[in-house]
Amino acid sequence: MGGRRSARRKRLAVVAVLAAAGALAGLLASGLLSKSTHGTGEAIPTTAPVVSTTAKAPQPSAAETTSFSPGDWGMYGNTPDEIRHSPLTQITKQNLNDLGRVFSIDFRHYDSTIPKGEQSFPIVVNGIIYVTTAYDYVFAVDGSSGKVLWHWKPDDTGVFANYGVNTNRGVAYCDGKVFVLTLDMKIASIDAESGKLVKEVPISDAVPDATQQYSYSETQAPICFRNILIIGASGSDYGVRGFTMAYNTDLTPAWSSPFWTVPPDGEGWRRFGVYTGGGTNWNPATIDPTTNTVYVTTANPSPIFDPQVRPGPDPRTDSLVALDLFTGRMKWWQQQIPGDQWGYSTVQPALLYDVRIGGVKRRVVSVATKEGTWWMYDARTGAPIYQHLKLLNQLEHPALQPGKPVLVYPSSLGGLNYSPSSFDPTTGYVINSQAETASVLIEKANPTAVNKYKIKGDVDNGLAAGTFGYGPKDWHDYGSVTAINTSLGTVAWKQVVPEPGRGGVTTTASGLAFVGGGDGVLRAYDTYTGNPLWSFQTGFQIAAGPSIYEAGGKEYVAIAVGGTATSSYGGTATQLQVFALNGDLKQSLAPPIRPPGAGPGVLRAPPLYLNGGPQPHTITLQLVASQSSATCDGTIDASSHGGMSVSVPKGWTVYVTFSNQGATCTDGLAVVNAPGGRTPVFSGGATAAPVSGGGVAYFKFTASTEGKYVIASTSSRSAKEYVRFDVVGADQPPELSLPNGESFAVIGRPGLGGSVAGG
Amino acid sequence: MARRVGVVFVAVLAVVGSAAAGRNAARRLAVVAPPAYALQAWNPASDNLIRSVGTIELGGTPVSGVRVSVDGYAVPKPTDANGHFTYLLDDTLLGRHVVTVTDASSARAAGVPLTKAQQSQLLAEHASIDVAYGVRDLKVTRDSAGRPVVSGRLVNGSGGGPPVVALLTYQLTGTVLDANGKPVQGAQVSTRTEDRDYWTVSSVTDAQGRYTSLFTASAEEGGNPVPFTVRVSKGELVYQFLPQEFVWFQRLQSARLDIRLPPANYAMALPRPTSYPGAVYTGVVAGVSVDGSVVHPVAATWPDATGRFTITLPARFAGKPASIWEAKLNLFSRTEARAGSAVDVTSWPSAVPDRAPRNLLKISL
Repeated sequence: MGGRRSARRKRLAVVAVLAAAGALAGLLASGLLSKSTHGTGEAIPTTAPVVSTTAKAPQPSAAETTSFSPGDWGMYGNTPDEIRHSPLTQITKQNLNDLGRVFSIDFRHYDSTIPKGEQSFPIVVNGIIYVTTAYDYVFAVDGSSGKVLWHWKPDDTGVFANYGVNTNRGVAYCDGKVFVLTLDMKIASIDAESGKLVKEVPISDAVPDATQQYSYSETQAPICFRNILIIGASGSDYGVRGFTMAYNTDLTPAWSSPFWTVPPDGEGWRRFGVYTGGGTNWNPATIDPTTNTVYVTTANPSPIFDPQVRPGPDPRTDSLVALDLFTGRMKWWQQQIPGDQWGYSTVQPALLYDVRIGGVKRRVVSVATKEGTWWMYDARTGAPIYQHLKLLNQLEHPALQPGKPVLVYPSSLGGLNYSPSSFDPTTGYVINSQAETASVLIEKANPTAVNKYKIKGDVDNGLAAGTFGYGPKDWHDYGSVTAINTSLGTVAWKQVVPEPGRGGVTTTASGLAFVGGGDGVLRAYDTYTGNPLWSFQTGFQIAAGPSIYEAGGKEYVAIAVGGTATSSYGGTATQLQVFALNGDLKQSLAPPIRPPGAGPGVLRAPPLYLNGGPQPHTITLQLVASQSSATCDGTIDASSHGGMSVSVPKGWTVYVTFSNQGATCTDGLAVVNAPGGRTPVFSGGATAAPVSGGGVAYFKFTASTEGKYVIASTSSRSAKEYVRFDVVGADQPPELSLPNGESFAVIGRPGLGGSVAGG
Repeated sequence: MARRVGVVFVAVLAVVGSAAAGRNAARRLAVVAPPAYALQAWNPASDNLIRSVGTIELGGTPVSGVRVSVDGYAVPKPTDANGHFTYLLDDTLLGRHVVTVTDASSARAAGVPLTKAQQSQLLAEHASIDVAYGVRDLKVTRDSAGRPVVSGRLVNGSGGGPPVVALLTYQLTGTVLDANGKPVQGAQVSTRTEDRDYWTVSSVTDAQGRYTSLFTASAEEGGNPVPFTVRVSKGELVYQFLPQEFVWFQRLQSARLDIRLPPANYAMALPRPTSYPGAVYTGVVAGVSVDGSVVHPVAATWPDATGRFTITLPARFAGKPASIWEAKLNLFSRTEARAGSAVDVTSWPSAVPDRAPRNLLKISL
């Protein structure tokens, strides 16, 4: 089964690329697209996908366990304590100037359906990098040479086109298998050596109702430790019920029940509506091997900005929770923001470490929040040690007021979003990369009325303007990197960077702290002093953290670049870049930090009714007669008497989809010289037979002769209805104009029957 | 956790031999029992897990060394010398947790290894650990037409009723056909509102191309009709309309949307939905079974705020032995459902839902 699936998948992928390449070649030839277009009009690269260096890849043995070597980066935060610290010391403050890029992998070279944007945190086992992309593709890459060993994709990526957040933050490795969570709420285990699917299970088998139908999704990197896989899920903003669950490596449940963070539907503070909920655990767990404790963080309650409909502190949202590794039983919980109304959450993975406080060695767990504050607790008891340490330059969030603007720092993006921190055992510093953001929030004037018709999954967040508010005038979000002296609970140093920090920090035993920025720059700081020591422009926004590993005796720094659309206008690429000593020192051009849009001279507006076809020199045209009309008004695309016009280059083939929505009449179309004509001027250019009310017909023709024509109704009842149709020179673009003067050009091929998902 | 005493769950091993079989048959009936655990209100200070203890017996003798699985979760330890296994149970969720024996190769009764035949029989055994609302004031009366009317009050361990029925969402149904009019199996239909970041995804279409979906049917700003982006996906393929083309649905109504996929190279034709009144409501119901089959009621009510419900059954069931089941259901209702209001029984399930506790109380209709 696995072999057949794999072969079929490969064949489909090849076909998809060829089709896309063919279509694009046609459009490029026509001058309609430049290489700066967006959407599915993306240029197909012609260069070799990998710049490789050396050596044959070592293969992980089938018997590999979770006992990782010091040169591995075996899990999301390297170690179960999530401190993102590498013991490697080959790269030092003294030789940083020799640190350069050794290879880059553009995942879209391998499959152009992979959407842009990268939030994946690579893991490395036995010199093999395992990294994901949006749509949950998994790539295995030789950590020395950059050779892609295999890649795997889920079968049902078509449904992923629905997801606004379609990212994936990484995999776990255990028992010779790689584990990935898919957007549509499944767990897949993949053979680490072959890349073949071993097993796939719906999470709802063990977590009742945890399905995409109920608005759950997965973007999280799971954690695997002692062959127990720990997962949560996303969906707080849609009112789901947050949970954490554990699995064995054969994907049977390892706990008898999920740990639910918030009450069941309709109970407690969720009794006021099925749309209330939240408290999801959507970032990786932290594990204390000495006490077999799992620490998880939980997200905001929802509706985000309507505290009136979920009164009280909404226990266990915005919280840090300690659970037993083997049973899921709760040990303690501490809430950082009771009754959150600003869209803050406790999101990043907690860090677990030993530190001397007042001369006494303590085992502690600490976490920073989207509010931009930092908290430390006793790891065993949960007793607070340090609370609400401010990490941001501006931190102010008054209570919301219905109908009135309230300026808050930070915005609901944070602060510290999923961006993980690092603990350096030598200095005792926790290093954070944070976003200095602001937002104006206007709660709707009448929350009760707004909520009257709310239903399950309703994501009307409760604001009058903007899903998450809007930026204050003359404000630009920026970033900062902060070191916390964990002994004292104070900020030791702080550095400001141009763009919000979304990617996280990794420290090394050689006293370096690596941080990727929204401006595309990977930086290294002196962990103790905060002095910036090295920087490298990767060319794309960064919203992921570095992983540091050893392969073939050499130390490497790997980071996924491409960023996220929610910061610094990222979501511009999906690449893995890897750095080592004596690498290429040539840096990339900085990415533009501006709204995405058309390159110069490409687009005017999104298309309407008319779009590029999947083959070169083809156009699809949607014509609807009597749109939603009970009386058969005879209009075509809601315009009448030639108000709409379409022009097509000579020689192009036009695929017409005709719908007759007139409830009680038959209708048809023909490309003719003048309204009322019935004989098509182009072969095939007419509906084959009258189309009854509610019916559909398809026809195609080649616009072989320049001239002015009409596509006219063939119904005697609507004989005067038509669309103007011009066949223009082959060097002219296809175009559609409406009676109000709006005109629309072709941007690519979205919206066609059977498009491959992505773009 | 002192709030309850666990009721012993007993999975009875049937053995060959007339006398023993007879005794065990009697015991088996004795343990098809009322709900073991009364559903409790959720407590944020707790993980809401309790230790439930089950027992494996052979003719009254405990069987040790048996490995069991509950809902696919392998209980870590085999049964002890008392035949006991321990399962951490979430007693805040209505449910039925199916216990199966996964390994009896080391099983012993009174120190004697089970025979291969006994092991095989044990592997075929299953039972369930149930969590259910208690039923107070249970009565069976007859209405003027002679139909049995079952009434009672569902209560949790604190005496409170279940969450009252609530509007969950609206319903979208329809079929997906290919360009030749043949049903498309394995596709999903999704809808997305234009003014907010929310979408629904349907069930996977069956062999007849049929799907059902939750459906939001409203826009943030309250316009009517409401424009939606509709997509059909199958595998890695996505079918959708040209950009800026929407399907318009009536606000706050359910709808049927039949979709015909286009031939290759053509854009999808815009379908017209047919809207109809009604929505999907979520709530707890009590139902009646006779001989293990659901009795479709003539009428039923959603529990009111105190948990009180009634079920009216066809007259032909009068006098028959029956039992109660409970389930949390999402039911389509053509009329607005409220606490204590009538259930739209046209949507009543035809079989007891998988995870619903059943055989909770025995009654005579």
